[in-house]
Amino acid sequence: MSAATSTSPERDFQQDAGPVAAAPATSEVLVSLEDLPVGGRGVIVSVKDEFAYLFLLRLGLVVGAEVELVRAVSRGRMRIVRVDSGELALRSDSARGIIVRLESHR
Amino acid sequence: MSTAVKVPELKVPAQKTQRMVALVGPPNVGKSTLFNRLTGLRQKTANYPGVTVEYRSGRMRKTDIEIVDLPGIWDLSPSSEDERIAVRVLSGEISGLRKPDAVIVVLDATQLLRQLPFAQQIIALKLPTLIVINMADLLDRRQGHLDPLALAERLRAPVALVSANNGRSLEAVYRFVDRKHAPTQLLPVLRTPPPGSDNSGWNARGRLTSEGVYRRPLPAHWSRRIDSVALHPIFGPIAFFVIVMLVFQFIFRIGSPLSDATTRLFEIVATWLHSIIPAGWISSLLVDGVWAGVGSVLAFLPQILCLFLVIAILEDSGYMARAAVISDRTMRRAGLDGRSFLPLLSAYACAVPAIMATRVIPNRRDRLATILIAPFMTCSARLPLYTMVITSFVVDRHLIGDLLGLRAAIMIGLYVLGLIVALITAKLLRSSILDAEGKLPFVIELPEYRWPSPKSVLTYLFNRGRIFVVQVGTIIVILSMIVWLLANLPITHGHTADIGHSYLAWVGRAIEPLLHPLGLNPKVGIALLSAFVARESIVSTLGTLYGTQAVGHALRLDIGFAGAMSLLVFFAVAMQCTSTLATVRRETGTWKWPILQFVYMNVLAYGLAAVTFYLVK
Repeated sequence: MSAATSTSPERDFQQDAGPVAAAPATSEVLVSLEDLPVGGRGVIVSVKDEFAYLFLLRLGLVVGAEVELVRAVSRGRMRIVRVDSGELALRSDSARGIIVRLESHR
Repeated sequence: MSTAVKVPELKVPAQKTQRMVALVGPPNVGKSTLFNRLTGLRQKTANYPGVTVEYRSGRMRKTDIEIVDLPGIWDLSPSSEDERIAVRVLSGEISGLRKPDAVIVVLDATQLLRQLPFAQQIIALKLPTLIVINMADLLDRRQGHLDPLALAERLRAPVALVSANNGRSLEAVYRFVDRKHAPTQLLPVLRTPPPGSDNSGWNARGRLTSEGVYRRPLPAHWSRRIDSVALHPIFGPIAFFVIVMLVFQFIFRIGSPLSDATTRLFEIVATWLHSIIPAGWISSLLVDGVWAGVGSVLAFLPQILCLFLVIAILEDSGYMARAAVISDRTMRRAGLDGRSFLPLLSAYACAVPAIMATRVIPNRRDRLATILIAPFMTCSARLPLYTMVITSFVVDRHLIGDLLGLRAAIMIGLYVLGLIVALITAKLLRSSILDAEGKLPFVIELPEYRWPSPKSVLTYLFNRGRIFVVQVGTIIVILSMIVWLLANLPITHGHTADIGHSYLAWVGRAIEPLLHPLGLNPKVGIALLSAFVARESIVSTLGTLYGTQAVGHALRLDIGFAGAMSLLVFFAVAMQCTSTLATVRRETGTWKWPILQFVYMNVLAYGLAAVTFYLVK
């Protein structure tokens, strides 16, 4: 699992996400949603691509949303993610562009 | 629990006797179930002018109020055709459709926080709006909670917490629709926040939970338990395979025999009609033209209803989304997504219901690509010619012991040929005229599993059946009549011409130079042209033209092995089905796509058949 500890996370489409912004920067471990382990939880901090961002926004994959990786299917090519109280399936390459902060490191 | 807030009254001008209420909401929130509850079977389905988007409208029970069910959309940013249409309907820009007098926004009670921004967008349109929070039963079952009065106060719009599935609290919706409305007090516009902007509006949703207005439901544990099998790396594909097999068995074991029985019934009645109507061109026109055309429409109906019954159950139960996830990996190679799988699979039975089934594909370009490639799949109507040619021209011998013979291998090869051509075409389409709209991520919502509602399933079947019979059937009958006229005119001495001396035969002889490169002759050409009414009729037409029941033997003497192989390849790839063309016209709302499909498939078939003839010869 590739993870990055960052004091200055990518700013591309990062939002001011209230409690997210208040988290101490030094303890942030950022991973892509693709690299989130099964059962792992996190908070979305940025979405890399603007077009994807606007699309994912509709489905609740917004900056500040809590997500949990429920399972990986199709040999990891598809991720099942819980957002709020619903579940979404998205391809790994789509998940790659969504950066989350691991909850356990808050 | 209280279910609605007071709706202020407004005097409506007296001349406004009929009102229109639009139903909007994201996909999978039970919008159609609510629509069915409100309107019963008083529904009609139509396409918006010039687009593939379909809408349903219906008269609400005991009122003159028209309810229009808009396509499921996520928001009002017009990035898809569905959304563009929804925005145009809500702003009264669709010709022939008046601006709605009120709007009902349907949301899923278990997904409320994600969907509330959509409701706020609609409220900002300044139309009288009712927010219907559906699936109250699921919210209760999963120990969630919503205070609709408190939510209504915050939204400044009436809110009703209902369950469309079992009819709970729907009187609040009837009351809203069936009274005069004042424009609701407006909230500031909450549009999709652009990247980099403040998104406090979205985060404000969190306050609903902290202030006790809404308690999120617990995760759907039993749905997860089912998913641990349905999406399991090994058991998931096995379960998918078993379900697909059951679907196929159902269509072939139940639908096909019923279709055959319908055809036989029409033939029996046709024989009887011939016996009571004096022989002549009028009897031929009525019986062989009109009656046979109607029969060819109704013969499809059992298969269509069987397929749609299965689709309705899979959709309503929530399994369809899982099937799309499982099959996505395969479909992705062709530039499609998992939702194309079931329609394409059902095209092996018949392309007509398969094309109608593409409605499960939300992305317009994916849907069009699937519609355009579906007729390449080997439908059952191709089998009579395949069987006749293969048994007549190919001497069977073992290829892999008793497991696979040469004849079976050629038959499988024809299936594979159709599939390969379909996948290559899909890839070409998705990288050219139907290229991806931006880099749209592939995301599917996985709804909670639930028992399908019999009423909802039956209404769905009734509507699909009616669309096919009325709208597709009309085109099929007209096209069948045109081919019948060509095959039976001119009339001499009060009798129609036999097919060998008809205008169709004249066309067949005229295209003779085109048939040479394929190793075919005018008789086969005429049979191919006549097959446009019904593919499976080609063998009997060849029998008529050769004047023998031993068609295979006659063909062996006439066109030889190379010509027969070329005929098989042409038949496997060509677009030769007026019913399919009529369905594509109905589903795409334009003649552009069926014409493109017709030209592309037939040119490709011609080229491949010519190459086959050249190589085999």
